[in-house]
Amino acid sequence: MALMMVVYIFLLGKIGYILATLVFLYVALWFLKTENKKLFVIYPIILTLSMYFLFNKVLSVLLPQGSWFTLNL
Amino acid sequence: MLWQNIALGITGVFTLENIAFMILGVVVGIIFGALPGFSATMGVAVFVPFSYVLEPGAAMLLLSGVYCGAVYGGSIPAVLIGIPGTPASVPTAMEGLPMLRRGEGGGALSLVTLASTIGGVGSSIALLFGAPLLALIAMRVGPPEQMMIAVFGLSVVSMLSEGNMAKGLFVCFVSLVLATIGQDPILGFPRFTFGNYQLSGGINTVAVLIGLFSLPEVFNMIKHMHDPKQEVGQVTSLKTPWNEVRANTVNLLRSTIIGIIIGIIPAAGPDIASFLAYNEAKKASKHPEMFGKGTAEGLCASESANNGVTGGSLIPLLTLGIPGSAPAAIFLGAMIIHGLRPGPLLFTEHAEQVYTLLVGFVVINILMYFLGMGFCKMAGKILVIPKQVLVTVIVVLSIVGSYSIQQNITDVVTMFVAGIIGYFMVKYDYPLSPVALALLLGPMLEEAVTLTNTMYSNFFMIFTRPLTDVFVVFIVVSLLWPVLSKKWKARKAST
Repeated sequence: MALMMVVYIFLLGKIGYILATLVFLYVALWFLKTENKKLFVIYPIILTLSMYFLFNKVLSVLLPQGSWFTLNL
Repeated sequence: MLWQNIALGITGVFTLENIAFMILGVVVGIIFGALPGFSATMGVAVFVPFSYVLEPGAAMLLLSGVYCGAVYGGSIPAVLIGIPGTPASVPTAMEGLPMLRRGEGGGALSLVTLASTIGGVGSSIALLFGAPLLALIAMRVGPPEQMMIAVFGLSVVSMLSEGNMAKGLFVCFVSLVLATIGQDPILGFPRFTFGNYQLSGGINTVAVLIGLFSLPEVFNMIKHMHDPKQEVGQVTSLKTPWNEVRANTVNLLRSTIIGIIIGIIPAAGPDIASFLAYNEAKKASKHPEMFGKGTAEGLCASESANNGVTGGSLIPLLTLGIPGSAPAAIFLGAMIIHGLRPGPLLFTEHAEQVYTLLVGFVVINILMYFLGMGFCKMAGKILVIPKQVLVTVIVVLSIVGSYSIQQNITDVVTMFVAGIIGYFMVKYDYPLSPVALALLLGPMLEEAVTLTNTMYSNFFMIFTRPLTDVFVVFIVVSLLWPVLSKKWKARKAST
């Protein structure tokens, strides 16, 4: 888990918040052996996007942008 | 003057926006408290970044809502599963589970909600009238007293880590050194930065606190990921057993007062209060043999005491800048960010925000009753959220949260490192709360020492100030307390 977090923090600065968080969540859920298939697919997308909109649009705090490329909505 | 300010606070609280934030805070707090492994401290720490963009008043209300809600929420799984959601609800679990097994789960839940509300409202009234009073006394506080207050706050830590005082003091000193990293508060000269410009602003305290109080829990949850699932008890009706409430009036009052007093004592948190009140109730009870087998008395004592702490712990925080519990320590960090520097001047300079908070605290505790009752009905669904979801939500929240403090990756790294260190500290039984206290009080202590040095050419002149002497006595007592109490116990045992 700690290792995944290191990679996550590194990726935040490279590929931006949305992609890094999605990658982290899928890897983490796989690592933690999530059995529920629906949850596995839907939950990371919902969490990532709701946090993104909450911070970027509602609270106007810009989340990390990637230096390689960024996905902006 | 006081009534005028309270009126000001009332107008501040009852805006649509503030009420919405209070409700949001309480709901989030209850959920955080109810999930085993999630503590009130963690809830407040993770939500500090959300409060940045809000106005100071609204931000404080949101965080108080989380704080009060979380302390209450811990009691719900204590009754339903027998696992306390927060350490403060351990006595509740001892009484609640037997009651559930007897089929009185609904009654136990509504009793717990009522007791928490009574404790909370009692303590918020104490806060509303006690804080301005203490602020008047605190007006006489100058740099020498401030220095002593900071040392006192730190020395209490040693009193709390009884049995491993050495570890408490060690953590305290290391954290004080960490607090000196960055620019000298008076001269502005960078220290201990090792030429690294990222360290010149010092270590971000809030980032450290988020990491320290949330990541160790995450790692521990992963370790116990595949433990067998606990059965969640079913509750049919939430009818309040009023005859029990009437029988426990004295008990509720006593426990609330115990909670408030424990809250005021720096760094002594809700867990200590609930155990103390539980023991007192047992001593005073006519049926002490029933304790541990499901008595309403035990439930009422523990819950009204731990919620009594919430308001009490803000009294020294607002007036002297010393947090009365670990969540209050994070509260202090948030206040400083919002430009509300705690201390006696707060009550005159920021009267509007402060009284909004004080009045809001009462309202929050009343809201908590209704939201709590509603939550109890659907608690069964929330308690079965898979751990995989909980773990990942907390990781993302703490990373995004620590990033948004200054939109800076350095803070995320700080948070992460603090979390790893925190994990090992918990593992090897080092207390975490001295870190919070030392990092927050460090700069205040340093400033006070420097100013004291410029005030008096002879350092020992500070003992001519009566208040300083009082605090010196406090410090000596709190440092000697563990040693003395051990001796007394030994003497009692020998006679």
